[in-house]
Amino acid sequence: MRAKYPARHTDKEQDRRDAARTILITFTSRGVAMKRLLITSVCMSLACAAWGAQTVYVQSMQAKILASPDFKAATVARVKRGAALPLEQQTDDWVKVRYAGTTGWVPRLLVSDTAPLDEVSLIDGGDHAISHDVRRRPSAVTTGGAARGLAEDGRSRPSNELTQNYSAVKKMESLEIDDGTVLTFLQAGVKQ
Amino acid sequence: MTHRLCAALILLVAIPLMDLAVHTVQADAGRFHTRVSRHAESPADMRRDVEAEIRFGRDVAAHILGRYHLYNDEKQTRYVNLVGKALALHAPRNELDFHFAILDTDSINAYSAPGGYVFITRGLLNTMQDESELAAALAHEIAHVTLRHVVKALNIHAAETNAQAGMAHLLSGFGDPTKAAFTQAVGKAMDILFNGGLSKADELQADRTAVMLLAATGYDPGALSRLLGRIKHQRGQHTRILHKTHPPLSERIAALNNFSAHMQLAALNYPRVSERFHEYLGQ
Amino acid sequence: MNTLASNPRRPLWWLAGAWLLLCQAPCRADIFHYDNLLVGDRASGMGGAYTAVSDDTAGLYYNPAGVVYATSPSLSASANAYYQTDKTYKGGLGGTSDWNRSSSKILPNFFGILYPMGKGVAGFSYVVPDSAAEDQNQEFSNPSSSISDFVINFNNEDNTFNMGPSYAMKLSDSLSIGGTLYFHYRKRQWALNQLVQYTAGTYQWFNTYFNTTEYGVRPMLGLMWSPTDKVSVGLNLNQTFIVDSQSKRQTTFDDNGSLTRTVITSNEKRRLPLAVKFGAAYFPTHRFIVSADVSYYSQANDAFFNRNSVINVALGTEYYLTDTVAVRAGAYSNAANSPKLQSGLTAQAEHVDLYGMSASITRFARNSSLSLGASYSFGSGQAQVIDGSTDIQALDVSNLAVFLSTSYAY
Repeated sequence: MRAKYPARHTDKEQDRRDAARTILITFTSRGVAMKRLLITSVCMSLACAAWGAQTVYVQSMQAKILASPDFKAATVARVKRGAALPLEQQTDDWVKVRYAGTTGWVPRLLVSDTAPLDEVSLIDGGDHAISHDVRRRPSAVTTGGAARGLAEDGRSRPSNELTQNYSAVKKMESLEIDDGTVLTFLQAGVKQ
Repeated sequence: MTHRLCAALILLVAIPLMDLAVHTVQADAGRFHTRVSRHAESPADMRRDVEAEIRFGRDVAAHILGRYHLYNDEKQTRYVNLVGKALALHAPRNELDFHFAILDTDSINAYSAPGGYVFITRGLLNTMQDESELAAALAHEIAHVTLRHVVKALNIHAAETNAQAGMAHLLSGFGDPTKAAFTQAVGKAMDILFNGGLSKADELQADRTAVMLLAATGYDPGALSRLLGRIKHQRGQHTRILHKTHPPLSERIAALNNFSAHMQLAALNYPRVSERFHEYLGQ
Repeated sequence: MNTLASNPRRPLWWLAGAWLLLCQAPCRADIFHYDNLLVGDRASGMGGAYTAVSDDTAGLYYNPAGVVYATSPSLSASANAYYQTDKTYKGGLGGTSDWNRSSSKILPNFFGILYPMGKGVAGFSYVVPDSAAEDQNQEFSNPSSSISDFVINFNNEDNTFNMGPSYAMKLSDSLSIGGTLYFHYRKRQWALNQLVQYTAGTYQWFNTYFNTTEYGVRPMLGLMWSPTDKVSVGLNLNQTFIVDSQSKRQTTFDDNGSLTRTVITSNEKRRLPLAVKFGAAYFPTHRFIVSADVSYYSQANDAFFNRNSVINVALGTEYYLTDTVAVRAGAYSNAANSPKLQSGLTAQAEHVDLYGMSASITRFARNSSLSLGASYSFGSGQAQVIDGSTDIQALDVSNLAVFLSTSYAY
């Protein structure tokens, strides 16, 4: 048990989820369906008791509310970002919510208990290249270790490199694609 | 007197230790310590924190691009961005603008920095066989950002700029230099002693979130497990990698397969999208 | 054997010179009490009843086990504390006039920093648990028929510093343990200069200078337990062990032109008591805390002084008027470790039991807080300040501390 610093709301959820998940996985791996059901319902009621009556907000651009906690289930409704959904139940990966008179399930990934923020961008473009403002630049030690990779790197992390290339970053940031184009592209691929 | 004192002390210590033995799962005792002054969290504060995160992530991205060159193929870069942004639309934290880029190197990996900067290497693209695998790699990296792994590990947030904070700095007389020195020293110590453990748990969490994100977006959720299996095959024979930051690939693949079975994801039959993948990447 | 504790050579005319004050070396009020300075922006407002709260940087001193409940890594400092002490020895001068001694001092008395490390929390703190600065200059003309002039200068600086690392971790969801290892350093310089000019034309001039430098360690063990929700119980065990002590005392006496001087050096070490602090706190809401502490200090005897065991109590409360403003109040006792004075004896240590109260107000911003507070303690007791005399003087003491402190979460 490491000391945790709940700096943001999601950490409290996470702690409870982690506790519940540990118990869930222990029993699941024994492959006994009844036990799984029992423990799931115990965890759910514990988690409910802990979380209490709450509203969750949709964080992704859109979300589908499904009839059961299964991606194959029928779509009950489609909701947009910012929709406030009263929470009824939750498991590790799904939440049950009420919407327009009915109830349904949404992946927990897509919701959170605070309203989503509007788009945040750096007003000044975060330009470091010219000013050489040493005070503003975070230390190389801290930014150095801060990349996260898909797989283990044999040597040190790439962000441990001390030189910084901001013009490349600017180039990376310059590519803008609007949401409509992205969605059209996606539909063409997955045909849903 | 001393004997009675000793007896009293032993009792004082024994009672809580016995409590330890008796109680198993219990609500976290620490929570009632929190005072109401810690609850105040306005949207403006949260926005400034996100700005600080983007600024920080930009610096990390600049480090990465200081080491590897950008691979300047516009068609491929646009493709990666289209897939990545499609995933991002179905992920939380839409206040961030995700940017994707290809690194010109044969090493097989993908990276993310806080604030939404995601990189994938040419080497990794070459091992992929369809768009769902590309989506899987990007989803894992997006998950690191949406789960705020680095933000939490390094406690990145906006500095206070009001007069009271300034006064607090002045009065304390120690303020930023001490804090910076201390943070760096602890950070180094953390890195050496503990970082492995903490980031391994993060990796497993990112894997699970990536699978959910793939399914929510409409891609075959088995793609991540497939991709990791192929990476393992490619790397397996020659390199002896010290597992400092990631759990071994076999452990991750096993965890993903367990998760997939539990969520009954195999039955979904979501598409892999391979034709268009070969078109864009000319393979 | 000539040690610092035994009476230094006394001039033979002490019978006539009831004006002469030759305090024994350990003549400072702070060494007769254990809970002298309250530290930490929150703990000071709550009368020091903090052993069961201790969930911020001040916890490194009050109960290291509590810092696992800190809500964020943080740094805090009490940068400006102003202390003033007034002591009045009634009839201390010539048996008729009052001898007043007062001291005041401004000093930063606490700095602490917390950071999560591994499974627990690491910290570092610097504390001034005891500090005094006295400055006195008095001149009396014709205080009696035989004395034309009496001058007394007194100067005393006595500071104790504790500085060191801490580590704490949770043993279970409701039990945590922590430890602090302080390095103890104390420096004391004491000078008393007295000049008596007799109407007959002769004079006597006494000068006593005393200094001590101490090095030691002060390990602290803390435990914190939550028997039920919203209740916390804490224990702090600590003791200062003096590892090295160098003392020097020089007495100079000029009897109308005939000079004698004595120098005594010593490596005698103080023996300080085992301190056991037990606290309980109740956190009914996120706005309100009430806590109580009982401290027990064991008997401790050494070459300088024999200390009785002492029990002190403290009570404190904190209430948030709004989400960003909190007020605190506390009451505490600071009993003397010296025995009650008895008639017929000489050179007894002063004995005053002190009682105090404190209050503070804090304003919170998102990551920092600023506190302003004060504590006031007072007491009446007895002392024997006239060397060689069995006379006992009534002693009134009052202490005022005003502090301005900040903490910063990062």
